Amino acid sequence: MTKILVVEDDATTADYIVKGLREAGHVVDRAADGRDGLFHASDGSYGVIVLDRMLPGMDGLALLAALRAASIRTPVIILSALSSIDERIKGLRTGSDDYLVKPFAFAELLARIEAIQRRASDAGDPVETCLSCGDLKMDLLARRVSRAGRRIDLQPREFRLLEHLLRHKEQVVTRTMLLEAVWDYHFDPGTNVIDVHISRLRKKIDEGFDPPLLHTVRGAGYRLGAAG
Amino acid sequence: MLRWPRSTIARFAILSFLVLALSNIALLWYVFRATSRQIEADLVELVSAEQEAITDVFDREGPKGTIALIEEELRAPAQQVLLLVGPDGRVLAGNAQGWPPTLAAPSAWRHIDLYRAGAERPERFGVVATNLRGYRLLVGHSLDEQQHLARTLMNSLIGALGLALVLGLGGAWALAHFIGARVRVIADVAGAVARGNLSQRIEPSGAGDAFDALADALNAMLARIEALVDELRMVTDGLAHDLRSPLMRLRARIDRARAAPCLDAATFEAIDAEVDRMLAPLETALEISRAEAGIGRDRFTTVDVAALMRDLGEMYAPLAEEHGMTVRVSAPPQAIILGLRDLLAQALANAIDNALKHATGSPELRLSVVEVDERIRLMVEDHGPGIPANRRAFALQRFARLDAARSTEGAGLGLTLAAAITRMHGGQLILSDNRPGLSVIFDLPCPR
Repeated sequence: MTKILVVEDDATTADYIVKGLREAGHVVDRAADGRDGLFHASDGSYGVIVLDRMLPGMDGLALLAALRAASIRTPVIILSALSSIDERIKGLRTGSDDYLVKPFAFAELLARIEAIQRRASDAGDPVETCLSCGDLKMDLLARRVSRAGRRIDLQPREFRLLEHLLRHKEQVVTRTMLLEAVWDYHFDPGTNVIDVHISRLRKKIDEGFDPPLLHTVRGAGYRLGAAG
Repeated sequence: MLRWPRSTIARFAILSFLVLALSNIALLWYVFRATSRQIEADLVELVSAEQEAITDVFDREGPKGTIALIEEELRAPAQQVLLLVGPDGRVLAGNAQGWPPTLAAPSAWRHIDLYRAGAERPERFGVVATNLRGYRLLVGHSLDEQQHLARTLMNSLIGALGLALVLGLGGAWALAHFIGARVRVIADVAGAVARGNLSQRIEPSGAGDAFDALADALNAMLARIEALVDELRMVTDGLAHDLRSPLMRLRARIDRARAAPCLDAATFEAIDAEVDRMLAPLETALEISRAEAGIGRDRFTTVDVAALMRDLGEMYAPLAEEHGMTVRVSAPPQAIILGLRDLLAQALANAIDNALKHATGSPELRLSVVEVDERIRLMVEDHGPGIPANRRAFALQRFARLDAARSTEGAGLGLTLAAAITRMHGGQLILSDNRPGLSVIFDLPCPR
């Protein structure tokens, strides 16, 4: 488990985040202002940095720019009350890997942190041609899915959805993350548009099989994996 | 020490004076030089001829003949000076008082001050000197005419400078008067606006000049400011109004929880849900204001709206099926406009979402992209109850809900945001009759 650095000046928010992350089993350091954050981040040993944008003394984006200029590639999630699209684009362009708008649900932050960690740890692995979870198998080259040996027919979008869930198996994936990763869009669809896709997928891969693999995580999103 | 004045009018006056003055000086200087040179050339020729003639006589008749010639020449009053001195330096003939000590013999044409016989003050002459076997001959001509010319021109110049000063000041005054008046009109309106009267506008003079163009541009700016301030008022009023209900419900739940014997997860979830219900319209209202203000326009890129429509069609198809509708997408292979992809997706999604909520009974939801007359139209069409013509404008207003009881979910901002986003992209949102049903048309410009 890699170390996480949280750079946030508001004590309540910082406590909320740090406590939540520690309860989820992560090792967390915290910094309360930009200078301190830069100092900590510069030693490069963190797996993920959670960076608030409005910091006393040094703007979060300036800190990020300084890190990237110093060739520190640690993934960064920006937390910001500035939610407009062009602020988001600005944040991503400055070099962050993700951008979360306040107020956010903790589950969303946790899911995204773990997704970043998974991506980083998978980075050195050789390209897989097969993904699996339990007796569910996906052949990426042949574009075929089967469970318990039985072939399952999926629409192209359902295939991509399942592929993303498999790549993040045992992790919580939020609806926003799915919209971004599977459809490549970042907006608020309002209604449960993603839920319907998930329930159709679930019908195909879980109905008539045991145990159920696609779980709904209340207040967060979905998880593909062992029962829980 | 004179400080360089900062007033535009003063600078204009000084500049025009300098231009006039310098051009006059240059002109008069040129005239003076040209004329003066001509006069001098003539004199040189005259004096040289005279010198040759006298030298000739000296060669033929010696000093005596020369003296006689000189005396005869000087009988008629003239501007010339002649002088013959002997080897011992004694004056033999001529109208100069003595040989100028600074003059060598021979000497080419040069200017020199000489005392004429009987004169108390020296005068300026142009002279040549020759050495004639020990005798020295001086022939010269007064430069009086040249000096007179110089004086005349100098006076003209002073007159011209005076005139330049008058014209400069006069021009500056005229400029100040006419331009100042026009500028003051604009400044007065700006002052009234600054004091809070946003509906003031500048009256154009009708002359169609640069000031009228300025007035038009400023009026447009003032209209925009007024519109934005009105927007702001509407947003804050509407938000305050619409957040009260969820806040009241929140308070009710908290009160119930306080009174309850134990706290259970369901209570907290209900509170959480209420907070979400408040955040959504808040965020949307902010998005609307940002879109109205045009924030993000400088980040526009190319967007393929045909692909966008197909993506949304595929995304919403399962949900539509659950509402008993099939989604049909008709779009060309590609349709490019300039904009922000995610904002456009939001706008279209809001229209689709609206249709799914309200177009009960419609078997089909049609999403199409058509190019017509330099415009690209994105359309979301259903065969539901539709919106009556007289309620369509209202439907686009903030927080407008067509069902008075506000029975369905949502704050009534979906189509408002869609309209604001369309405007931000240089287009307009049109609601029309789909005969039957509702047609939501995003009318956008084609990129040039």
